[in-house]
Amino acid sequence: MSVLIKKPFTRRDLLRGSIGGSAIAVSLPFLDCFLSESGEALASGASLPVRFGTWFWSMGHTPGHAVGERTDRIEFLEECKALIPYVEHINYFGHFNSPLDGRPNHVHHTGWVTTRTATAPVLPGEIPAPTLDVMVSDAIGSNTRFRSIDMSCTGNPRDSFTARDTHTRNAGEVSPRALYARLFGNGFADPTKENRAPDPDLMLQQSVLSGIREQRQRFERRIGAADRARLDEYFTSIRQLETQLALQQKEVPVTAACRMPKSPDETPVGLEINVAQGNHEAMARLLVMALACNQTRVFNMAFNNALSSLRRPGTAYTHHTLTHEEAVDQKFGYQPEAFWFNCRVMEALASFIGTFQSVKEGNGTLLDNTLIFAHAETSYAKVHAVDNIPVMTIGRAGGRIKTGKHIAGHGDPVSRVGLTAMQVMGLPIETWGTGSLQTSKTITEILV
Amino acid sequence: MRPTAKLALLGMLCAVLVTACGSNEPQTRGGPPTLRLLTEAQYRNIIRDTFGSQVVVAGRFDPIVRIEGLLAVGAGRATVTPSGVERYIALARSVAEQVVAPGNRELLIPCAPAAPQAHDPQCAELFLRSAGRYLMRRALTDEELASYQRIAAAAAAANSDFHAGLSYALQAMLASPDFLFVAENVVDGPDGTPRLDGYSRATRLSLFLWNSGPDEALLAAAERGELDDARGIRGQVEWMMESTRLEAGVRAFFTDMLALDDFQTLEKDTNLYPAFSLAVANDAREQVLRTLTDLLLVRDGDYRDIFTTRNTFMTGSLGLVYRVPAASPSAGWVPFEFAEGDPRAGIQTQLSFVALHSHPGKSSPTLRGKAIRELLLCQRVPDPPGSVNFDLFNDPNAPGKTARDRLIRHSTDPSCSGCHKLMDPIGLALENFDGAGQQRLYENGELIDTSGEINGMAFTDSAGLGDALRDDPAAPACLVRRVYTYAAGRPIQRSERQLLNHFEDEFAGEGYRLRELIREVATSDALYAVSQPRLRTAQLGPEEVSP
Amino acid sequence: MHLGPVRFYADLTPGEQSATVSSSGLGRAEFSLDRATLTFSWNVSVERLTSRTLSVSVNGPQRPGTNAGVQIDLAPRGVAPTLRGSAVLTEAQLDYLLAGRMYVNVRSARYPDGELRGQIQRVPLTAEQMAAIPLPSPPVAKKIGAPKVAGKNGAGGKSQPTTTLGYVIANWDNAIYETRFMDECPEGPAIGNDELWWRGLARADKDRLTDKGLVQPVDRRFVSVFRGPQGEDVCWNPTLVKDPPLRTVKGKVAYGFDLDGRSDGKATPKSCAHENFVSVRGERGVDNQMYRLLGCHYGWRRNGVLDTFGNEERRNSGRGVILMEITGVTDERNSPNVQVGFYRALDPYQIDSVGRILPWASYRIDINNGKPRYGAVARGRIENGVLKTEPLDLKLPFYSNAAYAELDLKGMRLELDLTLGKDNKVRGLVGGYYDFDKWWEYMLKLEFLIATGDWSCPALYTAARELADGHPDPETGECTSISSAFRMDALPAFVIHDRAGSAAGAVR
Repeated sequence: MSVLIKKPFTRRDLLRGSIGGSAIAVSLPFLDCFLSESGEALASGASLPVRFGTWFWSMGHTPGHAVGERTDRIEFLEECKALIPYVEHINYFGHFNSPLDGRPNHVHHTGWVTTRTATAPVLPGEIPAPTLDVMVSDAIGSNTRFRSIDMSCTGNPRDSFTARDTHTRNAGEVSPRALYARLFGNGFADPTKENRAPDPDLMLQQSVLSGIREQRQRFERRIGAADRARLDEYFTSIRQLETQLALQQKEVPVTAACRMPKSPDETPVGLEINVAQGNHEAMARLLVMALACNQTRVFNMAFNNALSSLRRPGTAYTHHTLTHEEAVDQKFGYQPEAFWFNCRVMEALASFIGTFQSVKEGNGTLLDNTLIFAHAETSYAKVHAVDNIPVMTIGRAGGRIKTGKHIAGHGDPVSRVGLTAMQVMGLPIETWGTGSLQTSKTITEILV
Repeated sequence: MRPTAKLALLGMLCAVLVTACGSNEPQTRGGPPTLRLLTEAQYRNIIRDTFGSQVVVAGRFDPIVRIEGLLAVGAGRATVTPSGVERYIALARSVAEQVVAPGNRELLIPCAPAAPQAHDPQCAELFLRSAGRYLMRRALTDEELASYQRIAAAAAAANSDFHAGLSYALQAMLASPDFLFVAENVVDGPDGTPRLDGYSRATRLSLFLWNSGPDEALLAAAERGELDDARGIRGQVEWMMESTRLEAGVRAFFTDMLALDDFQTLEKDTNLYPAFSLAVANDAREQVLRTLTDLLLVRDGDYRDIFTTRNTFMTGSLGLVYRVPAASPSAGWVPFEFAEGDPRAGIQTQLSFVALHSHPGKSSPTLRGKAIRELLLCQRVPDPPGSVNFDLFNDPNAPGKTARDRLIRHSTDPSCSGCHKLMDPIGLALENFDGAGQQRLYENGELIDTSGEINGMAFTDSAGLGDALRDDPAAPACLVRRVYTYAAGRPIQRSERQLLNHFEDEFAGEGYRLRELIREVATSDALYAVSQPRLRTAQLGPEEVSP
Repeated sequence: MHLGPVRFYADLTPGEQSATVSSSGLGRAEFSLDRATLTFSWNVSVERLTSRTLSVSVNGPQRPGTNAGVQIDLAPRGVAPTLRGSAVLTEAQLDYLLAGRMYVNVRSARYPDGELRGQIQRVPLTAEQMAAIPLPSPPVAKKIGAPKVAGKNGAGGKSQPTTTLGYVIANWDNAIYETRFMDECPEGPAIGNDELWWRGLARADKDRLTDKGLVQPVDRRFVSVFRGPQGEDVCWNPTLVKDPPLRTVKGKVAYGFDLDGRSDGKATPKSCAHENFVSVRGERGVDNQMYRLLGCHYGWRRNGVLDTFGNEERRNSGRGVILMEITGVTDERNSPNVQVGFYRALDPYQIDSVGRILPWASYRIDINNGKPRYGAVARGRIENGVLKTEPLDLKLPFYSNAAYAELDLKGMRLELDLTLGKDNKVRGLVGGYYDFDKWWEYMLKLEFLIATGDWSCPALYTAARELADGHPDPETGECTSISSAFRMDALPAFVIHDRAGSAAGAVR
């Protein structure tokens, strides 16, 4: 749907729900409206899409050694020094809290759930609301072949932090090779190749899918309401696939950087730090190409699992056990081995950012047209603290946000950050969350 | 082959002893009908049973959340994510193409088309009805058949190939909710009470006993109405339990109950445990299943003996880790018995416990204790509180050579001891097994102390722990609970508590034999009771949202 | 050390260059190596070069007729007719030097690859110097009382319950005693086939066959053995050429056993006259002529690869797996009466992901028609955790370096320390008289390694015939076996005697 805009206006106007006095309900995509005048465009002439993704890590930061307290700028300390070259692309959100309203702090779980869903879980393992990336992909993910691409660097598909609810969790791809097969194998119509004849098989696939959908009524007659909700997702995805097949028959707008990458070698998957890092890098490279080729606009990368079982070969301890059992070294003031792991994690994030920056797009890079929502599940792992969980946005979101800022939360709920991110992505959302995590206060300091 | 004479005799006996056959089973209202997503194993089994093992199912299935300790129950809450649907479609395509491929089609498609390049409705119907019967676990309706015929016809025309047409129709079947989800149909019983229809009963039974869809005999029995009364069910159960498929069903049950799927993501440090390889992990998983099926099915033994049995099976790879001779080092499974007095008695000492519930580089008394409590005794251990202070735990001045020393805080600190005293004593008894399950006497040069106490019974080593667990009434009660929950595919309802007590009594009365328990549950009235009235068609329109 | 610095020299001539050089230049280099600091000092003089000197350096590691890179610049402050200086050697450079693989290269404007060259050779140690090398002192005689029979299994005198200990042999090396500065080989390392071949070539052939020094020796091995007078293979026909006498070990210390019961080295009805060694523990009368033969060859020493490759190759191939089974053990520290069986295994090694052999694996014995194919059993006893066996004649199905060798050892004895190391290994020494023909047969199979191992068949054969010291031939009086010693290690294993599953091997 396109919106005819006759006079210039600001994003704030739109978010306040009125332009020229009349309320406007906007549904996506409205990318065309929000680009800067320089008119950066896709190779086909269509506008550059803004991508959204999350990057998750666990075990937080080492207090006092990761990010400085000053708020005139972002001061990355020893643990985060790998991020220093990218500081101008990052916004850091400090001292945003997760008030639990008396609900238990389920260790290594509550922290990421509050950050991503703005609701504190009651039961262990519960995910009470959709994560923000699911909400974004619902809004902008229907015009691409994949609603979202979810990846996990630990080798375990269960290590994913994207879900609609407790039982509808998106499993992550764990192997670069499998990810490649999914993205660029069968079903990938290389957009850079000319003269693609319409594929008769696609139409037949569509008929198969619509045949399935036809059975919906008949099937649902037999089941109860709660179960029907479970099937909703299934049938919605069937319809989604039909739409995507239709899209596959049309030309996919891609950026100039889109190239079909080579298939990566088969690599082991697992929790050894080198293995995780290797798979992370390989999958990131595939991801950015998938983004450049407009196969998806939403992604989720989980670097380690919530209980960070990352380890070094030949050692008995994992990252997680170190955060609890390692003594604080009096000279350094932190747990040296745990610190070592945290540094590797930040290096991985830096490498991720670098991969995005390496893809040219328009007058800038893919990073400029992306909004990465990066966060952990705790601030100080040793005590499972869920206040002041490190949260960052990375990338300029197509010019929609300012970057390089250190925003002090002063104890505000962390849902403010997610709310702002979703609004930047164009979701018509004014309020998010439940209980003390409910908020409607956008972080306007980063808005353009 | 059905031993009809045997059945007749049984039927007679039951008729005579009608008061003894299940009559003291407490009445239950049953639970709501379930809608379960097929688990990966069930999906594979149904494909294999329908199309044979030459059709390869190659793909990844989304993980299911465990509820009440079982994936079988979690399947009743699971749904399919968008990427999951994508995978099912791809799987469907792969299977369908294999089925119609030359080489397979001669075996799997019961007829040849009149003309190979055109749709043949009669031959298509034959195939679709027969495949659909096993895939959907019921007879296809005419409406459904027509829908699939339409797809087949269109595809056959587009490709000028009958078999290509069938392939698309089969894809549609394999991606349809009727295949992927096990839906239970509630109909009105003769006395007006809601009851599961014959097909639903057949599927509940075959998933329980075989972890697969019902076969032809069972479907036919369902269609004849034989499953509608206790006698008919009993007859089918007897026959199903004689089948070799029962072992697969029991394996599937224990794989779920003991969470053996975790082996898929198990990692051990290769420097610290060079003997632990992927082969060892696979063999360890198989070992406990063989131990259990041998004890409980072949020997029809006492379930409680799982904690004390010295009989198991070994391969060359396992011999390396257990440090026992393997008579056939390069090939196959050989029965093995540990010597009397050997602390390696009971499945709690096998790799499937001690290695699976450890860290990649060291053992974990807490994880092992928790596993035994939760998996074998059905006792939930609360999660740790968020505000644990670990400073006490890691005192650089304390010696802490063995795990017992290091975990001393767990038992002395009041904020820890409440939960840890449930787990640690059990786990510490297993400290003679390192992180890979290898036996050791010393840790960091200090002799390991494996003494402890559970339920007032003292023990000095892991065999002693096994004796103590054997006497714990929570163990058989846990099995009963799990078996029933697994069979029903849903959590226990409040009204079923008495029922569980009843099953426990019967179990004890029969010498704790698993076969008897399975029979008891499979032939119970409770398993087929449903509590929800039938939904009327008029209630639901296509877009209506229930309150 | 009162041995003084190790001295080397090199005569620099144009003829030593790989490529043809026309010059009447000459040079002499003298070196002195300080044993404590590895300071290598030189005094080099060069004259009558055809053109301006570009550089003077020590190069290496080299093979005869090949060129190598610069290791030490002998003229760091600029060339001059006489050069003096010093540098500290790295361990690697020390190795190359002792192995005879360093040379002095003088480059000139006309011959930028080199105009003069000379291999650095050792100034032989004098007899006085050799005598000054200290020997290990003899052990204090320990009072070994009657071995305790009462182990953990009860009082002595009655028949004890016995256990069985099983092992699989992992590594097997010739037991070569080495000192840091190779003083046991006072003249320097043994000269190998490659060098002897090279020296026998005409100048034109040298150029052609080595492409001016660019072709590596391992590629020449197919031609270098054919240096008989009419092109015969000199390994198969070792008496056809007369090589310079083999440089054998002149040191006094060796690993091994007293096989002939004497320490004076005189001939007996069962042995030929030969010199004895002192063991590393100070025991006298050690007979190890094999060490004398092989000990100065680079290939069999620590940095050579023959035994290393052999062990690795055996491990990966799964061939030549030898089992040891100790039965009748009443007490793992002290058992008076045990039997040690040696068997060939049917199963290959079990290897972990890094390539190490895993302990506690099970191996079936190779049984042929109901009897083990190799199944010698020695008697022995365990004292203070060390197993010692009585002499036994046996054959072992030894496999190494892609070749089977029937290791025919007469009077074999084993000393094995049963204390398990941190790497799960037990370590031991095997000694015995190695049948000469069987040994030489195996050496012939190793011909393809002659460049890697760097020995010369004629020299080795001739020396071996002279040094053989066991089992004199009743007619000729010539000895037909060579006293030898091997170091081996083994891992705990289960020895499976039959398929029915009655397995031996302690269930620990």
